[in-house]
Amino acid sequence: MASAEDLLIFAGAASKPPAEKVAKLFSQQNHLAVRITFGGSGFVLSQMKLSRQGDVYFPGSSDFMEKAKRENLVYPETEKIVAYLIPAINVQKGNPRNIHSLRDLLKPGLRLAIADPESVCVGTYAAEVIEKNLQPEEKEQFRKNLVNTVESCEKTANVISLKGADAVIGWRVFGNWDAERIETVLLKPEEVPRIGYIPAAVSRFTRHMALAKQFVDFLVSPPSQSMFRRYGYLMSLQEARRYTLPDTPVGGEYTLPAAWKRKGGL
Amino acid sequence: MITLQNLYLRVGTFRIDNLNLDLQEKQIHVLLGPTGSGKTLVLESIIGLRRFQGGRILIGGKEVQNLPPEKREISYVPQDLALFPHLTVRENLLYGLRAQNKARNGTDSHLNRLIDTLRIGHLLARYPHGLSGGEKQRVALGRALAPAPKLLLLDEPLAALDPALKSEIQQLLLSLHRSLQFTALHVTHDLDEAYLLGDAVTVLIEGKVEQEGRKEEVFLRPHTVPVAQFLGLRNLVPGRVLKIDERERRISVSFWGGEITIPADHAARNLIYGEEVILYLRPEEVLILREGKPIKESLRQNILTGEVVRILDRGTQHWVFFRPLGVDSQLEIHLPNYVFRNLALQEGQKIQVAMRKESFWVIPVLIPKPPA
Amino acid sequence: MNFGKTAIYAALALFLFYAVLILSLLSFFEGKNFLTVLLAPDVLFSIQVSVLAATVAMFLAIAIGLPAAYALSRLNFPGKKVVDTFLELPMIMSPIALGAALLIFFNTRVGSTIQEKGILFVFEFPGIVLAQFATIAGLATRLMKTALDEISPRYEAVARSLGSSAWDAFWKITFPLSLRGLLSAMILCWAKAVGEFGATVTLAGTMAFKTETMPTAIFMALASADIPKTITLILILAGIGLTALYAVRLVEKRPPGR
Repeated sequence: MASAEDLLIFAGAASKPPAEKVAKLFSQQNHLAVRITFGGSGFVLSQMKLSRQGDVYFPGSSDFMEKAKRENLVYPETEKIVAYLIPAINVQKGNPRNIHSLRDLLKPGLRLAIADPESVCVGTYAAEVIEKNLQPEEKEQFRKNLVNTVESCEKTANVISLKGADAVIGWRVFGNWDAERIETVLLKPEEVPRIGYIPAAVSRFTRHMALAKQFVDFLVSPPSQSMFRRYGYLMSLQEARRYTLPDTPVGGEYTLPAAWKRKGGL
Repeated sequence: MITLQNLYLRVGTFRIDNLNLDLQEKQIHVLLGPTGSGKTLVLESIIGLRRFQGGRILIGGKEVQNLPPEKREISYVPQDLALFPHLTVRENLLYGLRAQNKARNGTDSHLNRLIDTLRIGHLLARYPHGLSGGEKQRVALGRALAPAPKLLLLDEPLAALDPALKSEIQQLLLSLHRSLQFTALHVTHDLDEAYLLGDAVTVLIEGKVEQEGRKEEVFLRPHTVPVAQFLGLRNLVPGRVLKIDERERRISVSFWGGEITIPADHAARNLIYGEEVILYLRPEEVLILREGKPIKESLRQNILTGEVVRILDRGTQHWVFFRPLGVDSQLEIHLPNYVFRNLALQEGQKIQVAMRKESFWVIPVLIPKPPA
Repeated sequence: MNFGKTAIYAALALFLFYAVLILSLLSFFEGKNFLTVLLAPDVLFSIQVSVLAATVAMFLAIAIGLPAAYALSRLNFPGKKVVDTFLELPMIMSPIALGAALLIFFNTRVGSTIQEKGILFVFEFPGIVLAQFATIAGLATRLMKTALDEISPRYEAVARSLGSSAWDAFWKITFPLSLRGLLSAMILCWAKAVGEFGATVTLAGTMAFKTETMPTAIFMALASADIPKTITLILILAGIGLTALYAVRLVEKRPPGR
């Protein structure tokens, strides 16, 4: 329970490595406790919603922030962009299956995985990558190779670390998370449908408005940025655009086609 | 003939060493001993439920110790009878016949005769839980005897029964045995039961066979001190062999500061000079001398003077506890009531007692015979 | 307070605790949505997958658990205590740990050979069965051992002396007598398998229409912040569970041949 002198942050796992460090820094500088609970962005949103607690919501992508804004769970005017994310292909270190492009994923016999498109940010992005770049027969082939979906961002990276699949469509930054086991294969600039970003905003359940705002501001301050950069995150739009076309949209929400949703059948 | 040869068995710290047992066919052989003496272990070894480290088991000359229990044709009746609760009485009875493929279609005359003898014909459709104690005993016996086993093993089956039922089933066992002539090994710690049922008795104490033979032999002439103690014999008096007269076949033994000469065949085995022994003096055979009455010559040597310490009324008998002069122990004397009344004894009274030399039985302390 | 009364109150309090949890779900409940959610193809599929996988896992657990239980109950063998202890391992290992261990196993040479030459487990239906089996096998063995312990070994001893082989003595005597206990062990394990989440999701993934079990579906609904769907799925799972567990009570009431 957020009390007089501490903050409760609900965070998506996409930013876990640097976020922990940044929170510690903030806590030391301001002499108060900062507690972060990590999980799937949607999962922690449910927790925040049901417990009616929390000072800051810090999901792994814009999709869930849009949802939070729609459900009036955050103060939209306090939203800031903390870092940018680029979807990419992640493979096992050494690239044993020789995957160098999106279409290489269609080779018969490959085992592919993505995060669950309905509940995990990076999964939604993966779906969009497929939908916007492949022809119907190619999508078929991709579906054939897609052996499973996983329940979280970090699980998507783990799938490669534990060799559960030959390749996943994840974030570019996964390669930095486990450099010994994960290698990133970049998509072509025109293949990136959207630049993702990691947003943060003050939760409507906060009891420390000023302090929460301070934290969000801290997230975009230079010390925080350099921490994120050290972990391989992209800190500015320019940096992000190096991997995409100049007019690639940033953030927003992608509506999953029915084929990717449970009700319609996968 | 069923034989146990040189059985060697070790369980934890308990050992059975070199045990031999011979069971005559058509006899009820009793394995008698206190609790914890190893009777159940021997039983389990014979059935085939317990591994042993050495020895052989022979049935009719054929070695069976490497056969599994189901091939030995030995029926087992445990203490709690273990009637199969989910089968009817009929199915219980037929179990052995079916398992050994001896069941013939329709009636089996041996089984029917058994059912008649046991008077359980009217119970066939019932389940074990609906039977009385006595009925359960009968069914258990019927089930065990139905496949005409080579050996019937009874593990204290009557131990938990109340006296009336126990007596009834003991009689039933005897009459069954008379008519069916099966071979049985009956394990018990009950002395009366052993005497009643046993044609031959083996006494097992702490894993050792202390004595075996006909029941009269065992009960009246125990060979070792453990057997005497197990039988609960009173008047066990320590003594020492003073003299051995080979020609007259007599031995002289000292006890309680006195000396007695008895026939050599009243000893459990040949004794040697100086050996420690235990004298057993039967309580029924101690004579209390009446004042004034003449004493037979044969008794005159074996008179003890002393005091009546206590008198116990035991219903059909009176027990008189007598302490000889200068001795710290007591003799127990059992008197029929009419004798007691004639004597008009009182506690504290000074009396004299006499013992016939034939009333003594000498048990050596060491087994086997110590080196000369 | 009198001891008997206190004991009863404790039992009632426990019941109330769980009842209140279920009731609080109903506070979020939207009746009309219930059927829509229940009949949605992905939900029907996860019910099917859960029930099928749990049933297969249960039979596998019984197949190996029953002989193991017999050995632990009746026989002595070197290392018995060690084996006994290991059976309790899944209870301490968190399900995720179990799932991760399985995932890592399939990374080893032996594991990957099994997947190449035999069956695929990772992210496949057999993985669900394996994860559930791993979770319940130890428990199944323990419960069945207890059921067997209740039957005196004397029955088998007598049966063998009457001519039955060890096999026959077991099947004809001990097994029928312990059937009640064995059946309730089976149903309990089935229920536990249906409810298994951590190991399943780690090893078999979460793909709808492939490896999404009921507990996984609940988690995924919560992960998409879809509270009404979450609640409906919880109620469905609770319903399946309560029905199964009540069946245990009924089985216990009807003994064979008594």
